[in-house]
Amino acid sequence: MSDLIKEEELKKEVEEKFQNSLTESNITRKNRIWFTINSEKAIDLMSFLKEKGYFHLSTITGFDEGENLGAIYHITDYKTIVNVRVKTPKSNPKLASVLKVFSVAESFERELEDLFGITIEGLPQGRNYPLPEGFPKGVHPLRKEVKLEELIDKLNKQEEK
Amino acid sequence: MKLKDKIILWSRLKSPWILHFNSGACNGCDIEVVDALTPKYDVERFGLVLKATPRHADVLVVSGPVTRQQAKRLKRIYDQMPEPKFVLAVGACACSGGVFDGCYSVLGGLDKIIPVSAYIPGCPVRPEAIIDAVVKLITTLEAQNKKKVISK
Repeated sequence: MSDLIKEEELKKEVEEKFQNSLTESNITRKNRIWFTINSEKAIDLMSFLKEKGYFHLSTITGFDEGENLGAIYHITDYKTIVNVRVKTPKSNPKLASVLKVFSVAESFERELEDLFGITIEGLPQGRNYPLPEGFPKGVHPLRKEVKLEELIDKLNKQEEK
Repeated sequence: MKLKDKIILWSRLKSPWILHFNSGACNGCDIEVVDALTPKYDVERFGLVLKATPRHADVLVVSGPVTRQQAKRLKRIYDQMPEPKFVLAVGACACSGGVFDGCYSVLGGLDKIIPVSAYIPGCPVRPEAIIDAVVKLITTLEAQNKKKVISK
């Protein structure tokens, strides 16, 4: 384990600081660290990581697990990637915005809002970002329950109008 | 045919100005279009010049499938071009939708939105194919106009 010194150190520090809210933490290989954390504490963890030198949010991945929706924030110092996984129930999906920590997050968060239907609190108002104007409201195409054929039919009917 | 019309026809055949538009391509065809324009293949020797605005262009070169986001914008750019106007569909995606056909965000081929003058298949197209299409477009125009002159 001699080549995982940096990773082990960060894991230990985060585990101590976020004891109550951290649900999972592991190191999959060199330069890859994973944390799963409650959505309330996610912003605190990310600002802590930024202080530690992980200054770049490369992207946010959204996912749909059936009961839960969620997002993975990939934060890097250009060498090590720290993945922060946050989950939120599908019945009332809500996440806080990370704009204050990483100002690049705006476009990624708009994508989460449009494609997964997760409400991002603290995101300024704006038009649809990846989806075109006039896209049916309440349809989030990357969710599992959306059927491709039905969606295309709906869109084509709308186009004809 | 009046002298004025002759001059206009001559200039139109000798230098068709083109506008390149990406309607949702993966960038492969865009690079091939640039490849055809730059010195190695050099379509500029036929008088083709890449223009920055649809109001100056005679030929619209479209690469990529038409996405729902771009459809309105593409129509608008097509409407801004002066008559007579021609459209080249570059690549398999612009011809039929290609691998992206059937996706919720893609409408399909280019001919669902605007009339197309020539289809250039390939994924990505070879610059030779683009040159061939351009030459064929010019020669058919020439032939059509000669017919008109003869019939008059």
